[in-house]
Amino acid sequence: MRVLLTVLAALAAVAALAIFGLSSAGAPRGGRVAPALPREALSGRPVTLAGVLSRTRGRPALVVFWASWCTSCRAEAPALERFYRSAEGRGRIVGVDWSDPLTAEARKFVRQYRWTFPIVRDAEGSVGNAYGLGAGLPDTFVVGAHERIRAVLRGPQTVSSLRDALARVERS
Amino acid sequence: MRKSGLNLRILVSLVALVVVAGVLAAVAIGTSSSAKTAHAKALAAHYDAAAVLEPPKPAPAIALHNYLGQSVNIRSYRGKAVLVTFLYTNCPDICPLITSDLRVAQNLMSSATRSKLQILAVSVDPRGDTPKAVAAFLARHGMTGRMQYLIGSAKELAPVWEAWGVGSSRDAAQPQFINHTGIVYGITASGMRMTVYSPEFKPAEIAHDVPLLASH
Repeated sequence: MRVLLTVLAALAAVAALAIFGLSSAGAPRGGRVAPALPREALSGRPVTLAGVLSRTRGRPALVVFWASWCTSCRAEAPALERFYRSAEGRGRIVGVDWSDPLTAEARKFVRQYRWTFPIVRDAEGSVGNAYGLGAGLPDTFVVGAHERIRAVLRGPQTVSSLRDALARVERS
Repeated sequence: MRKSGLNLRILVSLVALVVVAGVLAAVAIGTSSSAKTAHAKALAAHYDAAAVLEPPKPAPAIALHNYLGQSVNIRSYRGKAVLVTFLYTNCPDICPLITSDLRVAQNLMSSATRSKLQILAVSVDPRGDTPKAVAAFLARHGMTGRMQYLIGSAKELAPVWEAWGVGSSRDAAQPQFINHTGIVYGITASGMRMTVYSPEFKPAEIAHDVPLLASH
């Protein structure tokens, strides 16, 4: 009888682990781990996701893929800077200039929209490919704790859509 | 007013779906017997393309000039996989995206695979795609020397569009833009039109399929 109880207890423990183990408080929340950012800085210093999330004290941040040739990126550009300058957005955006071989054009774009957030350069496009860019630019990835992609925003965003996306991830 | 990026994206997605659905319908019509259907499915399973043409048919002729004035004939690329697409340099979203994704796809390939690939872009804008505009477009996208961008007069280009089933018309509301079919065709080394990629293709799909196209 004691053996049977021990076996049942062990099975129950295994079942409990299987059911609750993956959602325990210390485990990373869903979403795949975000690929590392490109090392080359276009403006500002080189940044890493770990560095960005450290400065936000664990709050989610935005990785925004754009290119100087992208018309929709121009439509979005002012909103990105407005959000970055707001209290909620400070330190929470990294731009990734994707598949944009003419550095001079990319820098001109940054100057035109007076972007002050850090921007790294994915000249060959491999990082964007690893992130899984969608049907066009811009694409925004909300990256949370443990550098996991928690949400993807396709197309040009507004200050409120960026704010809402970050708030949703923080609430979840 | 310009269309928003998101609306354009939805429009392009719908167009792509219609085009791919049309291609698939053509495939279905051409494969009435179950044996053919099984063969088509087996063939399609090897490719990552949005659609595989069954049976594949000879690629229509393309004999035009590039922006340097050199004559280019698709037949001269027998022995290589060829990707054929239709672009214009003033295109706001889809053409730059297709071009950039083709560049990323090339970057994903080994140099040996890249040497077995030729990309051909055919202009859908005889007026706007001047040699100067094309040179600037290719430089902007890092594709100078990595793809052929073919231009010509409307009289020269229209038969190519027709043969490839590509629609091209100036947008009535925004005459600086051209509504056109924005897909990529994959041509085998033996000159057969085999695969179709929507404008939303992933570079990895092309990188996967090029060696297959080059081996047929």
